[in-house]
Amino acid sequence: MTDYLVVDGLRKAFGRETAVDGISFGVEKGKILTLLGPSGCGKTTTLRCIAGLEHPDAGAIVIDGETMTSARERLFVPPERRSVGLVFQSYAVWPHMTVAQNVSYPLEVRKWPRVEVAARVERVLEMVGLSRYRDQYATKLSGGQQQRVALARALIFNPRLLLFDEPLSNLDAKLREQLRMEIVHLQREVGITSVYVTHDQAEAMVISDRIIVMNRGRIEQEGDARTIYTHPANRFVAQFIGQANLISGQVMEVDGLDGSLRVDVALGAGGRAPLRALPPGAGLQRGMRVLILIRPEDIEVGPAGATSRDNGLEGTVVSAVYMGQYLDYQVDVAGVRIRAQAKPGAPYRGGDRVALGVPPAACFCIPEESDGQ
Amino acid sequence: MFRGRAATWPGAEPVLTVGAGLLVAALVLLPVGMLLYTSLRVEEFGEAAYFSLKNYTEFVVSPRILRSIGNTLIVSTGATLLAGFFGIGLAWSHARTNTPGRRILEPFTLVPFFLSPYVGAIAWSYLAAPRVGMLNGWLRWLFGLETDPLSVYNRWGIIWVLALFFTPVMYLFVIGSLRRMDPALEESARTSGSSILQTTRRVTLPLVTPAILSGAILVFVSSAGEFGVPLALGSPFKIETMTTQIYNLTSGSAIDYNASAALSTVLAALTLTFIYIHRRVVLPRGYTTITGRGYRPSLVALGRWRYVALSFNIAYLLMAVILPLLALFLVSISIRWEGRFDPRALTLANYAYVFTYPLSARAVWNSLKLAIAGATICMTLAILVGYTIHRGRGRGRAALDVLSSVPVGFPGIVLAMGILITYIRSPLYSTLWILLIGYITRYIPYGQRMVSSVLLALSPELDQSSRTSGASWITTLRRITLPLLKPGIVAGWLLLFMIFLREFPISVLLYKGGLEVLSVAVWYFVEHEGAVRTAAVAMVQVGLLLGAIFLFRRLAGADELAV
Repeated sequence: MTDYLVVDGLRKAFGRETAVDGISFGVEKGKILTLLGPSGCGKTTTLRCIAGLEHPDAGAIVIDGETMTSARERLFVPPERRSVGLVFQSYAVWPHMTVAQNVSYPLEVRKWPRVEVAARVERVLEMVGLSRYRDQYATKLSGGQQQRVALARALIFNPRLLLFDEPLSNLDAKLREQLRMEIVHLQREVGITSVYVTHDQAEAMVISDRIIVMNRGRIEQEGDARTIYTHPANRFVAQFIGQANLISGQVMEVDGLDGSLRVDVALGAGGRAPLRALPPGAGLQRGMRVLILIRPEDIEVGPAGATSRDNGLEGTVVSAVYMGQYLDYQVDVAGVRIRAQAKPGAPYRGGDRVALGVPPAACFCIPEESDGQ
Repeated sequence: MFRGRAATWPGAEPVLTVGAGLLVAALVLLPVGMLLYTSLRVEEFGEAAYFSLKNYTEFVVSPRILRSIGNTLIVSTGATLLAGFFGIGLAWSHARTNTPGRRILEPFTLVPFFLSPYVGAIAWSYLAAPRVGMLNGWLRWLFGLETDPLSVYNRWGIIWVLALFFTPVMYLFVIGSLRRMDPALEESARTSGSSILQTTRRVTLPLVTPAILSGAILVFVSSAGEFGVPLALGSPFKIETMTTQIYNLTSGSAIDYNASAALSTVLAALTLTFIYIHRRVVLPRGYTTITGRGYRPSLVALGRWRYVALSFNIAYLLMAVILPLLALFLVSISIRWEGRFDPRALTLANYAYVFTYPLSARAVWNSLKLAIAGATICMTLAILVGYTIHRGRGRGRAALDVLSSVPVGFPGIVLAMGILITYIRSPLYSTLWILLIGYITRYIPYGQRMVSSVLLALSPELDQSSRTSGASWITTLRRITLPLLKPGIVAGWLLLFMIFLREFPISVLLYKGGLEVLSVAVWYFVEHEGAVRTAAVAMVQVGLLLGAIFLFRRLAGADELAV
């Protein structure tokens, strides 16, 4: 099945700065894809190219089989003829218009009959819960309400594509979570194909069908939230999504029976320790250099001496911070700092000797060669 | 780079923005280029013209011209120092002290900014000229003096009038800087243990220094380029400045366009150097101290000194606004003028004369026509140019930014000289169009900056969300951009309208019989009619300007003035 939105070999530079460095991806009809990455990774530029607000240097953009941009064919459809709704981080609601005027604008410029405009504005304002503000000046509303105006304005003309450019970044945490859920429901309800740009991984996980992690104008990894969290493709993705302990080592042995690996882990001061890792990364062989990813929440913290069955490491607690749901430990294991998040039931303090237990299934090996850095 | 699929013609955006860009480039580059070219030509009677530096190496360094250059430097320096004293004092007393009535005084302090310095100089001659000056009369009577204590017909007089009229420039820079300053900077000096006066000296003043330098440079450049004041107060007594010499070389018996162009180039080099220093050295040093917090800075309680500050304020208003306008008014309703106002000999005949005498009646209409058309065309160009600079994506935007700001660095008389040389053989010469071209070329930077300052404060996403909503470029301009720009457009239009109503140097150099404007009529009356009729025609101009100021304050607000 061909994708509803196709981005092919997109490249865009501003002066000498390459913002987007030849990326390709597709979005299926009705799905929502998130471009996730740190600021300056090219995600917003990509979005603006799709909207037609930037002229790419190379590549093509196809929406519903219709080519919107093709550098090779010297083709560029201006934004107003793409039928793409865009929600900006800054809301960009027009201060000289009321809520209703803002929302009806896309229909007016399309010369819809007045009666139909009024009816549709009514319906869309109801959808975003702004009916009683219809005659207020839009910028007099709160940030969350302004963003709802922007959302209504982007939805009202039934665009082929809905684009979000960090729409929640200017809102406070509580409102952000609430609006995030509303966007998900609305998107599913309308069934509109969407691209969502954010630097917030939690937001990306809640909202997306698929996530693309971007860095320095390139795609680091594409997949669903679970895959990206548990099987990051490289160091960048592992560190960007969630918290990560990354320990470098070398594969010593590949177990023929269950395919698990024995990895020799380099510790400080020339020390080494063996770790067993399960499941194995694909195609790992003896002698390869790898990064072992261990998420802090997968590590058990117990009293020194009581080594667990597998992968016991002994160390000294550097700091222990009470976080409510868990205790956040920094543990020094022979010169390597390891972060662990344990149930608050085992209250060790700075200086205590502890044993860390890492289940082999929680150790994921990333080959060093594919390291994105 | 790319072409719209359905679009076979280039579309409104490139046509309008590129068109406006090219037009502005031509308007600015042609006269500047012609000026330089002419200054390098020598055309002597009976010989073929040839290229030479002779105009510079022989003419500009002649004692007569060197003396005028010296005079320009002296009066500009004097005016800058004096305007600095007035402007800093007024701004500080309004923004940082408890001077009584400071809120009422503030708008009046700006009034000279809008009035004509040339008319101001004439008004001051009614106040302080030997024999016929009202102030001289009062002082003689008050102190029993035999001779007149005051005279405006010297370099001091020129300095005095220039300083009074350019004080608002300094004032605006300093008060803007004081208002933008984060009060926390001063508060932390106070909590560190310094008194309020120590804080003023050690923290406030250093933070305001870049603004003072900016103001000083602008006052200096405006003074050096000012034409009307030295023409009224210096020229009759052979005290020439560069601007009056440039003019003298284009009229009367000793016409020499090449020499005039050379002197113009020297003056432009002087002012452009200062503007360049301002942009490159002073502006980058400006401290950005803006914060979003709404706390008002604490005020210096002046105690009994606050009445001294009040007197200082009132003294300035008396000298810059009240006395000159009063003198002008009293003279304009007198049957004749011999230095003393006679309430028993009043008349409106002078005004009747102004409105019936063909030259001055014509001048009123010409000025109104030019001001309305000039402000409209100039703002239209400014919108397109400002939009291209801040919203466009074509090449050459930086060049356009420079080109549309450069005329600020050219004194009116210099640019007029370039325009005269450029268009003298075209059919535009001896029509109102040449004046219109002169006005627009010289003042496009004012409009551009008005538009740009609003555009910079508006997110481009406001336009972009209209495009993604399905509106074309031209619809977006009409429904989103222009309405949002409206405050800047209104303020810019009114400012240009006022500037064009009082414009003098460009007009006097480019006009022909039939094309007189208000300032030219004032000048003609000075030369050919008596004091009372001159005062009446000047009052007509002042009246129009005061009306426009009133509108400006109603529609725009004082903060829009800082150009």
